[in-house]
Amino acid sequence: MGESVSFWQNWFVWRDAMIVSVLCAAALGYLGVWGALRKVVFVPLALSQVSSVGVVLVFLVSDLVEKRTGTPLGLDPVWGSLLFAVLASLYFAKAGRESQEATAVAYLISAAATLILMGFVRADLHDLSSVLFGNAVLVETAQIAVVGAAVLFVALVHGLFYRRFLFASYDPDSAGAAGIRVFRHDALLLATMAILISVATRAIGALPAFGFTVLPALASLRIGRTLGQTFFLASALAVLSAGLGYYASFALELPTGACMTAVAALFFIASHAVRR
Amino acid sequence: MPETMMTLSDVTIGYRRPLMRPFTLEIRRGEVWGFVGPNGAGKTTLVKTILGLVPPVSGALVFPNGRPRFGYVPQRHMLNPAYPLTALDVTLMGRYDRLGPGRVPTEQDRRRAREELGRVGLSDAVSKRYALLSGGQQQKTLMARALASDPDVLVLDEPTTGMDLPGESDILSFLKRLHEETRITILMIGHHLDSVAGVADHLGFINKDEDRFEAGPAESMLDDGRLSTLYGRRVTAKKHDACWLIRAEEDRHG
Repeated sequence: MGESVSFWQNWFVWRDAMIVSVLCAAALGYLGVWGALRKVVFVPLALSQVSSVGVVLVFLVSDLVEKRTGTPLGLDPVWGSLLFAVLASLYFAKAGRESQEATAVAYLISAAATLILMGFVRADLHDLSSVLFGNAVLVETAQIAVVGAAVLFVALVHGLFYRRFLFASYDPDSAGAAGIRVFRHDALLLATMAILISVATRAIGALPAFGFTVLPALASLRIGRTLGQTFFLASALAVLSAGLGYYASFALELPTGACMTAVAALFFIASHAVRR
Repeated sequence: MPETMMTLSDVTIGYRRPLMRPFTLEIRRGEVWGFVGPNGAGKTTLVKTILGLVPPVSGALVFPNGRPRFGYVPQRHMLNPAYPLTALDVTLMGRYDRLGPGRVPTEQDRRRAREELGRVGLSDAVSKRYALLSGGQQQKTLMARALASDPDVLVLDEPTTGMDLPGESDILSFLKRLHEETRITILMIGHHLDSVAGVADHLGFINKDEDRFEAGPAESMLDDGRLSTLYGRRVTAKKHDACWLIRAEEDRHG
């Protein structure tokens, strides 16, 4: 009861973090269903890691420019992150469905590159780790606009191309025979995933971002009777995981990202008890 | 003589590397082609080349009157059963290429999809989950989807694979009836010559391992000498009541 009162009394502390977490969760839950259906659940993890290389490169270039000219470059690392995420989505679209090796290779190379390049960035200049790996507790108000724009972009693209994404994902050969450009639609679908996962990773952290992408989708695929129901359930479970996880972290003084992921995992386990 | 729909002119098929030497093939409106060959012979590559999914390694694929609308029926086991889609959802996909960005299927699209499900005998399965249908029903749903796109050419990749005799007979009879009613051009891949020959009026024998591609009217292709060369043993073909009876003698050497 005490925690509950203090939680609601301190709403201004967690308001921004909650808004950003819920926005990320709703969109990632939906996108995760595409990932699960296309059997590429590890691709979001690799996309997130590849986009980190873009963040570090922006920091490095900013450092160099500042050293040479004496004035900062003023480029937001999110642009580096988005550029690399989109390039990675093209790579995964090209790699096709049998892309497990491509995913593993992309993840490992980009993880190594990020860690090596981080060593060249001046530690006193930026809080690189919080930009790279995010923090579901310390969310800046500006993140609401960034995440909101990314979610709106995803909603717009999927509103326009949902049916073509579905045909190209479900039966690429038949879609191609019908004149639908499968590679373009695959790349666009993966790009929306890449953009959102890279923005969400910077905003709330890699663990909850990946957790919202995978666990609610797998749970909802066990429960949903129709595709529409499955998408809705995945988003709803992810949003619930974000909200309940945040509250649990506040009440029990536990790490926020881990609590959100743990709640999503509980939903996934509970979904095994539900018969479709 | 019916108009030429497509010509594969000195085409070499393959995935970047040639599977076999170049060949020429002309397909006319209203013809029913059956392409037969062993596993891995290059049948699917040929069909994917015609569909524009795999570019020819060399040569040209020419559509004298523009690219026809293709309705493709893949092998049903290629589709992921995890998608929670009904038979109607799957059939409606046949209309998706007509929908502009942001558009949803109209009542007319839904009517066409239901009509085609009815035509293949699945009126009762409209709202059933596709993955829970029998193999034959799934195959028919995919046919309904292809037909719902109002195609000029229906292309089927081994439509009777994994089916029991009644299921196979159902599908082949349906194709025969469909052709009699609509005169639609049909291209079909099959393993078994006797079942394909029962529907096709033109046949193509394909085997990349023997660098063989022969094609022509069924009557001339079902010549005992040609079949014996193709299968490496004595094979005879006789027409009986509009059906081909094809018999291979025991291989006394192998």
